[in-house]
Parts: sequence; structure tokens; C-alpha cells
Amino acid sequence: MIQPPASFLPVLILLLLALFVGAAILVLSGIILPRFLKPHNPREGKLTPYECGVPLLQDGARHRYSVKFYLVAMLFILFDVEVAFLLPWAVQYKTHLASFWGMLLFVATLLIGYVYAWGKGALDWER
Amino acid sequence: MDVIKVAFFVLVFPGFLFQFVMAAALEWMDRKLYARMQNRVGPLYTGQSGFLQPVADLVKLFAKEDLTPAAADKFMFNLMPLVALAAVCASGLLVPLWPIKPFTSFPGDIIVDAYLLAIPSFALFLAGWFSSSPFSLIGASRVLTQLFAYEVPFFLALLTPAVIAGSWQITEIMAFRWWEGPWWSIALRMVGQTIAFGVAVTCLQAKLERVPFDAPEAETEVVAGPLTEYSGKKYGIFRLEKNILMYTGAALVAAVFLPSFPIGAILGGIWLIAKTLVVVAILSVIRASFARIRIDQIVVFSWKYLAPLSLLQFLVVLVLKAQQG
Repeated sequence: MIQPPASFLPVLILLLLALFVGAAILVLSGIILPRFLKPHNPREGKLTPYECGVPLLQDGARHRYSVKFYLVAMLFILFDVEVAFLLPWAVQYKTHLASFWGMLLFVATLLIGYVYAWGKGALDWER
Repeated sequence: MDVIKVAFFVLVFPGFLFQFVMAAALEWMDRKLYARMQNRVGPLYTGQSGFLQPVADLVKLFAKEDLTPAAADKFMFNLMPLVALAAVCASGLLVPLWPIKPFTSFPGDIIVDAYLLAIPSFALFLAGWFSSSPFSLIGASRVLTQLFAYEVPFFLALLTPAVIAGSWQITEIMAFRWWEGPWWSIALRMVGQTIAFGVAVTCLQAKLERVPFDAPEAETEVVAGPLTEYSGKKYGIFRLEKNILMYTGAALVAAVFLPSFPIGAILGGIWLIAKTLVVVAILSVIRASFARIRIDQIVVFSWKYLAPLSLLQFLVVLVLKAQQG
């Protein structure tokens, strides 16, 4: 049961149409509403980043900051790919029951890595 | 003819207008239930019992001044609300309320739907990143951390009904005759589905960033997280997107986990909406009964409990399926 890429074309069309609808709402409300209701007088103070009203501590937010849980992000990619592999196999593995053990080995390999990451403290908040 | 059909499909019935109405109705229901559980009355004055309050809120937001911070990346800042809205709308069209074959149903649509439901989180992260504000940045990094936490259990939970029905097409999963077979097999199916349903609802709550998983938008810590710099109509679009996400996510979970019966297209659609209401009611109860947990607690909770639980029950379901031969 191999699907040609053409069968995903409707999803792309749906996505583009929905994007178009959203853009239409934004643009139309931008054209119609300001004449009657919407104020538009941006000042310098309004356009600065919001920091609860106190003077800005830093200009902009483009600074290095500590990303916690980057190991979790790597685990996520591994497991996400694993599930993406599992799904097409799992829904029709009944015709090839022998492949069950192969897949079990694959999942077990990943699980070993998961347990290792857990033991190493990848899931804990690092200080 | 086909063009009109598709336009009606996308713009009116299961499409944008219907999703808008469902989003408003569900938000009203959620707010009413939440208020009742806190001994308040909730929205009251706009329309019958405050039914039009969500629409009124949206109209108010659209009439407010729309600011783009000077430090933000203008193009991406304006684009991200639209990307999020488009993704949830497209995912809602894949839930088979009124199937036009090539559009709503093809093998593999459950995984397409699940990935479409993941896009809003990325859009939210980019929105926070391009706002260029400290609060937005912290909120954005929390959005991604939370996504890494709940996405794997959510996918594993969605695998269960797919394996039980032996299909990865939502309509076929719904058409699966789950009441047939030996009694132990039905019982095991039900247990597996119930566990997976619990995991999926928990992950949906995290996807919606509602209490107890609202660390990315915790207003007492990071103002509004990634949405801090958004105002006016762009914030309104994000808000609408959240509500439509509540509808489409709940509809997907209701479609694949809760039982469906062969009762025809119209009754089936009404039944699906009824199931969606049940899922949203469960989400409201969760929101009312818990307090916010920290972001590291969310990660620990979903990687140490939810993911192994869903993997375990997935293996059980696999063995069960092999037994039936």
C-alpha cells in the first residue's frame, strides 16, 4: 500500500486555503475597522518590549541564555522518528508476524538509550 | 461544481465558519463549566446566558490598536498567527464530519492530522522568538520544552486505536467494529483504549497550554509568554486559533478513542460532536481541579510516567493483535 505523493496534495491545498482565509480576515479587518473604531497612534514608548513598565534592563532580547532540557529535545527527535517508523508498520504487521521480533529489538534498543539517558539525569533540571 | 463543493467544504461546513462557531460555543461551555466548578456564574450578559461572550471578546480584540514592537521582526511577527490558524483549520478539516473522499480521508491521515496539530506550537515558539522581548523568549523556550515533553506520549497514544483497528485512516478507525470478537479481546481493547485515551487527553491539555500545563503562558511568571508583545487583531487570531485547536484536538481524540457506531453520515456527525463536547468537558474538569506545575515537573511527568505507560500499553495491544492472528 504505497501512496503516491499526489494523495497529500489536498492537505497542502487545505493548508493554503486556510492560510488565505486567515490573511483575508487580518487584511480586511485592517482596512475596514480603522475608519470607525480602531485607534492608530504608535509612540516610541508603546513600541518598546514590554517589561512590566519599568525602564528596559537590556536593549532587545537577542542574548545567549541557558536552554534547559536540550537533551530532552534530542530524545524527542529519536522517539518522534521511532513513532513515525512504528505507525505504518504497526497498522499492517499482521501480514508479516515475523517482523514483530525485529521491531521489538528496535524498540528495545531505543529503550536502552532511554534508560541510560534517565540514569544520567537528562530528565532532571540541571543547575 | 467541484470547485463550489470544495469552497463550501473549506469555508462553510466543516470548514472555517463551522469551526469558528464550534470554537466560540466550546469556549463558552468551557468558561461556564469552569465558573460553575469555582462557584461563579461565568459569562452572563452577552446573548442568552452569555453565549455570545467569546464572539464579543473577539470583536473587542479586533477593534483594539494593533502594535508591532520596533525590535520585532515585522514579517515573521505578522505571519505566525496566520500559520498557526491555518494549521489548526486544516487539521479540523481532516476530522470526518462530512466526508468528501479525497479531501478528508486518505490512508495515513491520522498522522498528518497529528503533525498539523503540532504546527501551532512551533508557530507560537517562533512568534515568541521574533517578538524580541525577554518574557516572550522565556515563554517560547518553555513552549518548545513542553512540546518535547508531550508529543511522544500523544503519538504513542494515537497509535493504539490505529493498531486495534488495523488502519491509519481516521474514517476506517471509526468504522472498525470494536464490539466483535471474543470477550477477552474486547475487554483488553477497552482497557488499552481507556489508558490511551487518558494519555491523549492529558497531552491535549498540554498542547492547549491550559492549567496544569500552562507554564509557557503563566501570567504570574512570564506575563503572557510568547504572546506578550501581541495585541489587537493578531492576539485575537491567536486566541481564535487556541479555541479552534481545542475543538479540532478534542474532535480527533473523540473520533479515534471514543466508541462510534454505524448510524449513517448525519447521525454520525452529531454523535461525533457530542463526543467532542464530552472531551472538552473532561478538559474543563482537569483545568478546574489542578494547579499549575513547573516546566521541569511537566518534563519529568511526561517522560517518566506518560511515555513508558503509553509504550507499555502499546506493546500489550500489539501482542493482542498478533494473538488474534
